[in-house]
Amino acid sequence: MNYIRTFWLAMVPNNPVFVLALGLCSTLAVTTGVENAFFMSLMVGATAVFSSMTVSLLRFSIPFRFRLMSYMLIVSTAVIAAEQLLRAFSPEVARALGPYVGLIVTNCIVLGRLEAFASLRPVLESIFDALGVSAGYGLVLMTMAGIREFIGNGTLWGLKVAWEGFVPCRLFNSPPGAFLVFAGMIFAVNLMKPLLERER
Amino acid sequence: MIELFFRSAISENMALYFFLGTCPLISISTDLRAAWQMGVTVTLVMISTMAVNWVTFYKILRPAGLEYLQLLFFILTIAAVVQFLEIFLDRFFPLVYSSFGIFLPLIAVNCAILGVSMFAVLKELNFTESVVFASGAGMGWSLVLCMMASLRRRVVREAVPAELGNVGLTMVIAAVAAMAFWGLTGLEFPGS
Repeated sequence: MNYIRTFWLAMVPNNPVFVLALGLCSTLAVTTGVENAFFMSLMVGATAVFSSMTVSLLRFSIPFRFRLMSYMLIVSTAVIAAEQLLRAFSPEVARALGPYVGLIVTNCIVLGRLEAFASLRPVLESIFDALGVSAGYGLVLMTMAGIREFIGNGTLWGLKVAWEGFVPCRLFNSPPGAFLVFAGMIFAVNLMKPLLERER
Repeated sequence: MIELFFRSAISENMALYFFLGTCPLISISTDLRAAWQMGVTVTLVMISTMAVNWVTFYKILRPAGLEYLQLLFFILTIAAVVQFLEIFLDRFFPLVYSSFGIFLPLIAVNCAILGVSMFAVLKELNFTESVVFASGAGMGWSLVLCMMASLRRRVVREAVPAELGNVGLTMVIAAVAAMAFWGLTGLEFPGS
């Protein structure tokens, strides 16, 4: 029960993107299509779980002074492994994501959870926290990618879902569209926040 | 060369086209002076890490067939360069150090710096081109950072919806700026 609570807390009340404003670079960059967003969240999830687990296992043996360096090394090892796997299994997605997979290393979500959670808590709990964080990240990414791909292209996951006579607005596929959609989503989330709190 | 510089600085701006280094854009708030200092520091670090990373990649990693380790090496390089710059500035330019010092450790996790190196390798640029690319990217990024800080200072006095918050407000400004920068894509330069 406790683990599910950890998962939930990391996913919604502490949503990495909207509440903590972390990992914005990749959120904006890879959301041109749902497929890219899905694989990106998968990559971040794998990296987060692996590095949280490792850091949590080693939490008593990493010297405090060198902890950031050690975290960076652990995260980049995980990212390299994930990147090689992605390249081997779906080269097209790897090409579409480009350097953004490598940039997970500097993604503050993973590093932030290591510093704030995994370095202090037992292994299983850290794994659930990492899962929750990446689920929250994935949720935001998929929603945003859905909006952008539908309005910008009339498709979802490469399949045409728009009705006849739907005119796609190319702006949403381009960089300015990412900023606009993100601003709109933040606005919506902040509007809904007081309603949620009242129910509790 | 000029075209490469222009493209990396304006039309394919790091912050507005590739979305790299967005975190400082949001956190730097309305302080124009801090934004300027941060921009200069990032540009300096970007150029020096680019040079070192280029040498590491083409002289060490590629001959040894270890290209997949580029990430690890680039991060180590950035951390080392930042550390070195910190010591160097502290020793020889203490005045500069005392004003830039606080930004230096933050820079090691700035994704724009790692991104520049990775893009340059991806595009197979040669050494001079890489350095030009890095300086263009750094200057473009600083331009956006300063612009954002000064715009935010103006916007604070206006009645914007409170629900938008800091992040949302920055995003709206960035969207408009991105459109303007994006509009300059495809400018041609005679003789380049």
